[in-house]
Amino acid sequence: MAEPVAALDARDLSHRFGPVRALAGVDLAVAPTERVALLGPNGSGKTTLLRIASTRLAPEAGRVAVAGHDVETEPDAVRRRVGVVFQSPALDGALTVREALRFQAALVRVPRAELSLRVDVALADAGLTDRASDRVGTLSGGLLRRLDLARGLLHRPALALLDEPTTGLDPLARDTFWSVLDRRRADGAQLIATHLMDEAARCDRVVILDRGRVVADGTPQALTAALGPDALWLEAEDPATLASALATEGLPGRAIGDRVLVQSPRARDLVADLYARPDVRGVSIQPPTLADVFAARVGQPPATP
Amino acid sequence: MTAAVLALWSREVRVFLRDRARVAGVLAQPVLFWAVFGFGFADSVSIPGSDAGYLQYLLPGMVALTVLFTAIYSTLSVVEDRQSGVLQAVLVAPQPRSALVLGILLGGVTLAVGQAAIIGAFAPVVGLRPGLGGVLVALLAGVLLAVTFCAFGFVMAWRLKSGRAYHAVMNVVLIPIWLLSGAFFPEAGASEVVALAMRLNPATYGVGLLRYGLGGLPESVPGTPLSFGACLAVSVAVAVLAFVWATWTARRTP
Repeated sequence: MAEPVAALDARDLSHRFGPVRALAGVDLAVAPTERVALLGPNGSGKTTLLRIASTRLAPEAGRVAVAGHDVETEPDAVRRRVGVVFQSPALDGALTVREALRFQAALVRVPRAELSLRVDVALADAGLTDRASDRVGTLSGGLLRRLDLARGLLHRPALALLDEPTTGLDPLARDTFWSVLDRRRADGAQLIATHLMDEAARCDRVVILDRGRVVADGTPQALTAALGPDALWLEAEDPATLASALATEGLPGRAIGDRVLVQSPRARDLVADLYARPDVRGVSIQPPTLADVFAARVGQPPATP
Repeated sequence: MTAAVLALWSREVRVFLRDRARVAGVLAQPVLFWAVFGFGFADSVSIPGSDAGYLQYLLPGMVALTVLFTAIYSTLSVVEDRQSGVLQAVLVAPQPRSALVLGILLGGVTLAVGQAAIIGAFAPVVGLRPGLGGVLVALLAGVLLAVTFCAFGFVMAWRLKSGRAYHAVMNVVLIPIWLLSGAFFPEAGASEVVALAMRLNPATYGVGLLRYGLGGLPESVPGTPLSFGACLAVSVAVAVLAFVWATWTARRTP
């Protein structure tokens, strides 16, 4: 039986903006209905990757296909299959909620016979049925994001590209947004650029980009397990000096921000000795999280939203 | 493509009609200009070959002013759409760029011609009797002028990143185009340099066509030596070229 065509298949993808290298040989495949989180510090190449996959930017080198269609040679076929939710809602505040969706439906070629039903379902899905006649400009931030999600996914794309779609939302609004996103899982694959570790943890797979390269790729469980049973963090006056000192003692430590991350399968056994050191001000130990994985792979803690 | 063009067109019209201040401003400006200039210059300006008075001469010019300003400024929506993010959503939709241009231009043309028709309805007040044929020609002139200047506005809006830059450029370009189109004063009696500038101005031919239409399709119209055929041919050619220019521009990423 033939393998299903990947929702996204990027091979050796590179791109520069003048002297700045945004992507440097990225390989990334996203299976149909897979949900992948794209993590990375600002400038790591997340948005560039999404722009290329949505045909808004031509790659300098490499190849990207969406559902088997090349972004450069078949842009129209790609646009039929991608849905994009941008960092800021792409909505006209002067239209009503229903008009905004009908406008999108016309753009993405929703068949006329299905249009009303599709819009009604999208409104219900986003919890906006009772606001359908209100102007978009009157919606709260959370509702605006949900409407924008409904807009981006209206044509049930094979690949949904979401670029930090919950930026600026409070935790409750984010939860609601994710509930809506969860209900659309069956439509197709979802590639979500985010700075939020709890959002990444809700994905099937996490890909971390740093300076245009993939530095980690795996399930959240596999990535955290690779750090060992525990993440041991040391607080120090001078983290770099402490990391060097630990290295000479055969203990792998890495200065990250104002702390040192020690990766060792014996982490628990080391706590007492490390705490007693004069150059250590504090010790914390816990099962590793995606934030620890991010810090270990990128060399800096994840950005605080 | 048709559905997308219609959607873009209806959005332009809806958004405009919901902005009452914009509607009032666009309608009030030409009426105000017409009254102030018309009555102000009534006894100072005489039009060669006409004894009808300046108010009558100025009316087609005010219709042209309405078309030009409304057409051009309707494309400010492109700048606003870029800033609000709506343009991004349009650009990732599976639609040819020509559909985007056509939808926006149709919206602008509808608004421009619709409002100009309101100003043109004053024609009988100043003694103009266009008749049915003349009205149709005047409408055609309005459409051709609107297509030309919507397309020009679209090209500028596609390239300029901010609304302020757009306003600055358009004010510099638009007022001279209008003043040198025969809308405000006739070519006859102007200096050679100004007369040449008027002949080179594509709007001159649209304004000339408007004069033929609102004047009831006479053999010649006062204030311009241009024939009906020349006005029509140049207006059509310029509108087509402007549309092609806009479509070509839209193929580039804004």
